[in-house]
Amino acid sequence: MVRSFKRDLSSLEPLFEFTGDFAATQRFDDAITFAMNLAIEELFTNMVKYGGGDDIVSIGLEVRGDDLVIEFVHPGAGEFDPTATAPFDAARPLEAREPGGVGLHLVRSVMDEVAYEHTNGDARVTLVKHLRGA
Amino acid sequence: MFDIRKGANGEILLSGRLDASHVERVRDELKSLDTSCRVDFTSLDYISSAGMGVLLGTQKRLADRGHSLTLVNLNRHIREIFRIAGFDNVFSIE
Repeated sequence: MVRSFKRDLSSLEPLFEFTGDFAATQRFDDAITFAMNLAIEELFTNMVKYGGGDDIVSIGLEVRGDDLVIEFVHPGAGEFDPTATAPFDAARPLEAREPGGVGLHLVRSVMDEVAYEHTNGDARVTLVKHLRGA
Repeated sequence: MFDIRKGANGEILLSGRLDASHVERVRDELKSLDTSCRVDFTSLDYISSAGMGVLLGTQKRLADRGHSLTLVNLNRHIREIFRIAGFDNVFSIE
């Protein structure tokens, strides 16, 4: 299933309907569904805030063998590699904490693979979640 | 669907799905908070980093005055991402 969404926070409602329909069709348990929704929201809101480029982002959902594969395509996006951000230090005390950075840390933690490529002016992010042993 | 309201004992009740499209509402509700408070997650199904950031900002502001938020009744998925983010080090979670 592939669907395109306007690059705006108002798209989160239809985006969650899209993922919810897919989760129901695939009979995902609530742990897989939570991880899928979280990873997709974090990357989508990142593209809303920082991505530049086209106003439309396409998101594909597919079960390939034992994997859930999520693919974002953002035409015209600037280069921003979510796999190359600084490691997040979860042990920092409250006074040393600043907003930001935790979203991509959560994506890397709840997904098994995160891949990024920027070709022909398009950003493509692929997430993989193993469905067995999750 | 998301909601935030005050409970009978002054606690804050969250319910539904707290995604990035709802954080301004949460920020508005929490900005007037000036003392320690419990935040009840019993009916909250989902939260992302946007909502976590508002809770963190509130915790920092309250800590400067010697107060804090206590987070209660988190579901196992929210509890797990709070652990991943190290929120169990900066909040009291019951």
